[in-house]
Amino acid sequence: MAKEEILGEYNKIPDTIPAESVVKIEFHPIDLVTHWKRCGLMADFIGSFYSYSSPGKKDERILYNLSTVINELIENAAKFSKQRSPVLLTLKHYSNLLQVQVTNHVTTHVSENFKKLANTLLNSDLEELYFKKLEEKDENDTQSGIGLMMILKDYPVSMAFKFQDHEDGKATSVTVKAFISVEGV
Amino acid sequence: MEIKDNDYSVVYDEGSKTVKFSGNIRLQGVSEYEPIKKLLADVGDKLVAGDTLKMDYKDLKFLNSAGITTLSMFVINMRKKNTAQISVIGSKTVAWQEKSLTNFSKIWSDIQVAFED
Repeated sequence: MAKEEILGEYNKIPDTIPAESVVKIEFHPIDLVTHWKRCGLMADFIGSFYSYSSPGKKDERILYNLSTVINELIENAAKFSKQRSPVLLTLKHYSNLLQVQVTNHVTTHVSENFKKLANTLLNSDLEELYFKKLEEKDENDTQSGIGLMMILKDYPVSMAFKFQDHEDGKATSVTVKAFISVEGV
Repeated sequence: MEIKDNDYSVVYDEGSKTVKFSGNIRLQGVSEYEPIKKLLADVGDKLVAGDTLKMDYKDLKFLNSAGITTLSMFVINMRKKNTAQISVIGSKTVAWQEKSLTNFSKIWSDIQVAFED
């Protein structure tokens, strides 16, 4: 039986609750790494799609903020995945909450590092840690998690994580769930 | 001094001591930000005590976290040099700016941040 580990409030929205809207996008990381601009294009599309369903004058604000949050998640999936394994992006809209679920496949080494980061993200004062990381930043450190820290501290977003080892023990499926308060962004 | 791309531009006007950022900057990782980092470092080297560098972000629609990190590190370097001041101008209508630009004044409390329509 493959090992599974959950960090954070992963089932904040139980699967039994029907979503008002579901969108699924599958892509290969190599595609986005080769054409980096596609990360932003995909994030802009999702931002645009869900800002349209939010009534009132704040539509553009919602578009900008959703795109910013989702772009970070897509960029991370593109950067850290095994390049030819699929990434599945599932978006579910529930009234004021948008659940963005990103499942990708990473090496066990990447998975262990990300697990440490996930624990830090869930258990630290991120306002303090973000500025500490910037002050101490090693310019060659590309896995600092500073983007996720910024999202969690500045936007009305919470996150949870699931790590599921593959049967062969050579890779891990990682799912990041981000719960975004759409009106609050 | 300027950097121009299909999606964005970063232009320094020596007369008004203003760096203006426009468009959409979401480059791939900190290493792709090297040219922008170098332009800012060169601008920083030209400034003398009493100067105020204006950083105008009003027309910058998007900036990813690698970009925000690059700009934050420039602010940290300027704070350490402690010669010139920085004032930051953002837009009230570009939502991310309100959140991210105010972070600069948490890095260096002397920075003035103003938001315009």
